[in-house]
Amino acid sequence: MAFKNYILVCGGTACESSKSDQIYKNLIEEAKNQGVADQVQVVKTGCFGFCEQGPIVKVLPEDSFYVQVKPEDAKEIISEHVIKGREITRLQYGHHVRKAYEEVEDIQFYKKQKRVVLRNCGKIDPENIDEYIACDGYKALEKALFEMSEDDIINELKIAGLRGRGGAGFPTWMKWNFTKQAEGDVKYVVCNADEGDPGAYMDRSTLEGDPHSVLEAMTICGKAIGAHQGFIYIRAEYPLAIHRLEVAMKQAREYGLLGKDILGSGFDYDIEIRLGAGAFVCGEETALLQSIEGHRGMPQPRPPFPAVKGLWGKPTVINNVETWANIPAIIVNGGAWFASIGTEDSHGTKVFALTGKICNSGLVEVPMGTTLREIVFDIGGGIANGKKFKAVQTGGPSGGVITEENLDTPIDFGSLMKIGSMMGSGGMIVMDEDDCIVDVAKFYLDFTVDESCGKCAPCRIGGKTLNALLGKITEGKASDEDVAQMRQIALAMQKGSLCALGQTAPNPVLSTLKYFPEEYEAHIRDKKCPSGKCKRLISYSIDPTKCIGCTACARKCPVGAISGELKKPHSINTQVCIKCGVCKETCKFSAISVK
Amino acid sequence: MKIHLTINGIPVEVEAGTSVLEAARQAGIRIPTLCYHPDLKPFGSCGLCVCKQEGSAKILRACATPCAEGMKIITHDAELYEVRKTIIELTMSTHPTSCLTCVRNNKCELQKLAIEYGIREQPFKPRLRERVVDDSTHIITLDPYKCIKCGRCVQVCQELQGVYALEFIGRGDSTSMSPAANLPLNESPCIKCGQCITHCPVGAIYEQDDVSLMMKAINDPNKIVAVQMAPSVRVAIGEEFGLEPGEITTGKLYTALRRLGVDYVFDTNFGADLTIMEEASELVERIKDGGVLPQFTSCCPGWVNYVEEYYPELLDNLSSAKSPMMMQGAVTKTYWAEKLGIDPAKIYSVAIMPCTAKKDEIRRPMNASDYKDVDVVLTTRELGRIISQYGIDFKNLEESEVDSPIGEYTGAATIFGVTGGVMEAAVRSAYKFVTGSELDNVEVNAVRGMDEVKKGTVDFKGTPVRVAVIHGMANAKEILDEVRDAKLRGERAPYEFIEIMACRGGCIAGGGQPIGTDDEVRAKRTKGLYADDEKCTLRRSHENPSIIKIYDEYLEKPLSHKAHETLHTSYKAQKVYKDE
Amino acid sequence: MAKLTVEDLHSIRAREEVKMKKRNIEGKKRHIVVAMGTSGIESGAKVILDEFASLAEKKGLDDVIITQSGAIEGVKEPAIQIHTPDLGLVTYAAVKKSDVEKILDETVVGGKVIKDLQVEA
Repeated sequence: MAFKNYILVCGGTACESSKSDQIYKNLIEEAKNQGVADQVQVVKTGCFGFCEQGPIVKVLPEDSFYVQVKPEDAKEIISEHVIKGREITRLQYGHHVRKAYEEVEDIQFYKKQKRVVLRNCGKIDPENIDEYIACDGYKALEKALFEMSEDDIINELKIAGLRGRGGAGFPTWMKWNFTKQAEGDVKYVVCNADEGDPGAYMDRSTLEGDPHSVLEAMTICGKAIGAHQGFIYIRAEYPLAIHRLEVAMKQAREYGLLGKDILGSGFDYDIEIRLGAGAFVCGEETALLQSIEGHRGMPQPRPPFPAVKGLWGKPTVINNVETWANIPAIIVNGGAWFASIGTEDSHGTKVFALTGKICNSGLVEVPMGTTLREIVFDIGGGIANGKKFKAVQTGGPSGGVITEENLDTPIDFGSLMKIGSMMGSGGMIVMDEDDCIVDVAKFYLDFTVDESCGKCAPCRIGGKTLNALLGKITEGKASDEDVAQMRQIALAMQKGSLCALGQTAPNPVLSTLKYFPEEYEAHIRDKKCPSGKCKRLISYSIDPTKCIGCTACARKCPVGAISGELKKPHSINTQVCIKCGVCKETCKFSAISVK
Repeated sequence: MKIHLTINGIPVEVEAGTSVLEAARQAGIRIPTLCYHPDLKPFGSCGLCVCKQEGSAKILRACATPCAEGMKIITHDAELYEVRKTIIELTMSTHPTSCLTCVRNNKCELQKLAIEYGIREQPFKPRLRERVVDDSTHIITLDPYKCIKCGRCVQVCQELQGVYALEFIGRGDSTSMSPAANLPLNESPCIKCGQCITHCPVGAIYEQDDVSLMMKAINDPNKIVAVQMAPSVRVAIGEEFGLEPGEITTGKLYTALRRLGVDYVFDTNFGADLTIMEEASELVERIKDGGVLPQFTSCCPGWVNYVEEYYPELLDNLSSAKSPMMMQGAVTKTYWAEKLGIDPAKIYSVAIMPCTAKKDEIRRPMNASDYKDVDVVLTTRELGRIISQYGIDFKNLEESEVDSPIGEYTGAATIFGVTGGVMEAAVRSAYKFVTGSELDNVEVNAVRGMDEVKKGTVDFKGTPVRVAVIHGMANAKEILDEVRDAKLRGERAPYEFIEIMACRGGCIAGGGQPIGTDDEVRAKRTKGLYADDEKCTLRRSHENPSIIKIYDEYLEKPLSHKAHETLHTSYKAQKVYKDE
Repeated sequence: MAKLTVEDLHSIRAREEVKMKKRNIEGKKRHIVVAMGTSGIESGAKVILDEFASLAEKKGLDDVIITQSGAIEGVKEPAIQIHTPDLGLVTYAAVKKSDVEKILDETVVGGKVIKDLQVEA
């Protein structure tokens, strides 16, 4: 008899790190032990996106959405849910009680999402090519190989209006077309899976959840531009994604969907994986190509562009994972379908990794044109712990902060640029009132300074000098003149740096300067950090009218900076205090304050 | 195809493929650069050549952007000025300002820009790294303290020379030019060619200064100082005194050296004629006796280092003849010493060379007497400095003659300094050795010019001799691979004689030559040497009366036992990484 | 020689699609819930559940979700509940294996309540 229940266990990196693999194994074991192995199929899928609540287990057909599941819950899922048909309320998201026949309740997190890129994530077993095939997998390849000419394929992308999801939003069809038209007997296709923005994991999840979509897309590109070899450049820190890719490639080769004479079309194509060591700059396409060639990953001046002279000097198409994952859907459903999603400026959807001070962090995919407010407050559930929203950063270290006044900006390439940020690859970090904006700018600049390859002077020296000036501000040692110098350096970096890493590195500084001038002024003129983040500018003190002399803080203080007699108000020696804040957390009487 | 564009409103017509940077220079507009060098591919590290197109905010790099029809380029405006000035100031903040004590004072590209941009103070807090100087080779000194990370030396070493002795290590702010694998330079694959020095825009790489060694010998009453100078020095040293590249200053050089106190002034060109006698005879012998072919020239010590490191299988293809410098040194301390009855121990043999690898060559165990063939090598630059220090007005110096009998030279010898010159000189004599008659036209055009690999066949009256000429070390790889692969298969690559020089253009653009070498300068120096050749009444080495005499009096005949003892050497494989 | 022909690909897809469809609950509006409490199982609810599953598959009722629940209090078992957008909730009690086909045809597909089986839950 057919399976009655299907249990989907999230096999993304985040859930795996909280033992989802053990949950998966336990479920299979329990189903066997309890004699229902023939009634239930346990499937390990890609990321569900709702990582905040992981590990996630979904039971079908009831569509029970179990969150924060532990390996020991497996027994109950089988005995109660599978055998007795009783949903386990305590595992249900929001401990929601519902009747068996009730319509599946929309979870706010998923309500405004639309899944194109992540269409198969959390749905299929990424290590089973058959399940991918069942979900229209390799249909696009068949179409591209047998029904479409090279120009048809490129034209479909043109109709779709797909723009590169790596950050800059260059029209994909143009890249392909340039490469197709470039002279050269050998051409290459490259997948940029060197995702590196802080907090971003869109590409990793896509590869973990639906690796075949990328393989299929790259093969279609091979046909379109006349290439027979593809490379996936992926950082070695993504072992699960690499494993899933390897499994997928093996299965595709076994089916002849990679290799010689694919599906009897006479077209040969194969893909190799190249591991990167995780340098952020290797996400820059010319640096990435250098790295594949075995050189130091340093950006090269453009022109020549990779479409003309790329990998080993051959014309090369290079797209990022998310861009690739869109392509089979476009070929199957048509460019017009894709163009109907999103805004005039930007078609389709965009995946974001929503993190920071947000209730529901996770992976979200929304149609272009969705507002930031919808993402932060509807999907993300607003700011955690009832704090006040301060800003959201898009575009990672290349982007800028977006404040309350611009929250209704629709997300598309053009609108984000207009408000001083950028789409970027999809990192989205939410900040609340506790975040110091100078500290935030410094966080991003620390990152880019760390990740600068050191090749060009504006980025190498400018970044470091700019960062030192920001450091002066956080220490209360800066003057207005320093801000003028910061602007001067920022201009030199924007205009003079060789690659986008350096050109965009000052963006977080410039956008915070623009939207939070008063906060900079507080640091510079008043030598104060309004959020109490910048340690050099704050001091802890005990209010003697509130302190009852319980000694709790004095006992917790790691440096012995607090003294006082029992049952008498204590005091803090600010010379010794390291401003760790433990005392404030410890005090039950709110007697300790930061200024 | 011609491309038309305007630069700052000035119409310009250029060949297709010309960069905006070059086009601007043609239009009389200089865009500042620190990393760009015409010998190298655009690298894009300095950020100074930023330009715009009219009506677009997009920045382009003039060095990397080819001109396109109808472009309207802006190279200078308020914003670009601001950007460039800031970048120069930022670069200065990581560069010491100890210009007065720098070897490149007055010849520093950063210094020049600081002057041009009127930078009177350092706005940004200086951040200098700790000074650690790598003088492990005692030839080439790396001073990363002064390095501005333009990348030229790395590019030169890897792309032009194919040696890979230098690379970037570290990332971001701690990026540093360094010997490969962060080894000391003497353990790296460095072939000591010195091209990194001549391409460095600042004073981060320079030659070890050995001038004091020569001066000490000159000031020692017990020493007899005999000096020789390479062909290329005479067409370049004038640049240090405001003369045009390529101006022949042989007579002035002889005078200057005498004024410095040198006892005898000889000429490496005599050694070059001697080299031809031996090397051409060796070639003829190899061809006749079925020896190992093709024969490689061996006068370039950079190349000899390279082949010992990277192609040890080909060592028996190298001519066993010593280089002209070493031959000159050898006959100075043997033949000449005997002839004058001087104790060779008293002779101090100095060589003025366009080359840093020559400082390395004299350490090779190949001395003809119990003493070193050559005691010290000074580069053209070092000699230029000492001439200035001694208050010698080089430009207006009267000319003098070389000392006999090991100083006179033929035209064949003087063209040793230019790519193809050794080959041409060898052909002039080998033709005679094989056919018994003289070559009608001594100018072998097939081996002249700046093509990176030149191939041709010279007809020795029915015996075709297939030759190849390569300059720029990296360009040798293809032919060397071909020769090696054939050899490993037990076959022979289709060449009889191959000339290889490590430096682009030959010794005229060696690592010891005046700073500021590019193809334009190379062409002028090359022209100077060919003019020197044409000036000579005798243009074939075997016609040199002093050469004929030395064989009569001392060496008997080419390849004789005596000649072997005095003028030949052997080679030994070197490890690529010396620490292994 | 290609390993997989286009036809092979199609047949894999056809085969797998059927399997995947069962897992897919999107757009499935009609629910059949079989009460599978201890008493339900004792009264033979498992037979009813299996019959629904196999007949629904045979009839190609792709958009029907068959699930189970605990006991439905106060009715004679085996009991089932049917929920469709048109009918709302309908409860049938004392269902026999032979009733299953009729329930599928008349209620689930036809949208008509079988009065004989219906009880108030």
